[in-house]
Amino acid sequence: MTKGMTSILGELKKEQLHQSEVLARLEKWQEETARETAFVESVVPLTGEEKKEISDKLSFLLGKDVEIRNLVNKKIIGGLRIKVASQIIDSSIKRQLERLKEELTK
Amino acid sequence: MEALGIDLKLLIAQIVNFGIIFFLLKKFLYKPILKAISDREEKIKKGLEDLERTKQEKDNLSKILVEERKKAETEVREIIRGAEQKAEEERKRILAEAKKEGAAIVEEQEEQFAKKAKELGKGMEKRVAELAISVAERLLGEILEKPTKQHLTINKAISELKKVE
Repeated sequence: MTKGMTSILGELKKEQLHQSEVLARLEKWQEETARETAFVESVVPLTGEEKKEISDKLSFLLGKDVEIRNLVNKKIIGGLRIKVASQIIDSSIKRQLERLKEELTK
Repeated sequence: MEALGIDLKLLIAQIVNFGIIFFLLKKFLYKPILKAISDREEKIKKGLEDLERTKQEKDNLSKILVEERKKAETEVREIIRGAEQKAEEERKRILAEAKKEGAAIVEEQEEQFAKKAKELGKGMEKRVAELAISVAERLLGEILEKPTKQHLTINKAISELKKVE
């Protein structure tokens, strides 16, 4: 049992709620925890199709729904930088150049 | 006897006188003189012997002196040779140490020079790389300025993402 669920059950116990209400709240909690937000940085705004493709792939990888929040950042030069579930998938051109620089100065 | 003009009594008396005188002379004069001469001879002989002995002693001393001198000279020569040898060894040791120290200094200098050259080279490499990357960033920024080109890079990133399992 997760910490979040324990907390909800504790609160529900205090409020002396009806069984149906308890179930409703648990469903809501399940929905909230089953969704993840991915922050996707790009130089130009993403199209709907691009967002969908990213969301589908991330949902498949994480096993839960993923909501895409697009942030425009010209500093990445090109490509994408994705932050999701405390992970970063950086395929930006800026990062590639940084890797190249590291290789050159080794 | 008388015919010869010799007075027998007188002769006898003279003979007796001569005997007495001879006796007295022998007893009181000859003997001390002879003894004195003998003593003198003995003294001279002793003096000569002493002289000879002294001469021998002198010769012996001279020989000893010569030997001692030779010995001393040999010792001095040995000491000088030893000191020269020691000085030569010391000179060689100092020279070897100086060479060693000199070589160590040269080696250290070379190491420092090589290290500095390496650092300089590395610094140069880093600066060149930074400059190249900076130029690349600027050029890529200009090349990918159009949104269509940006979407190409985005689609490429999505394709790579799709490969992740």
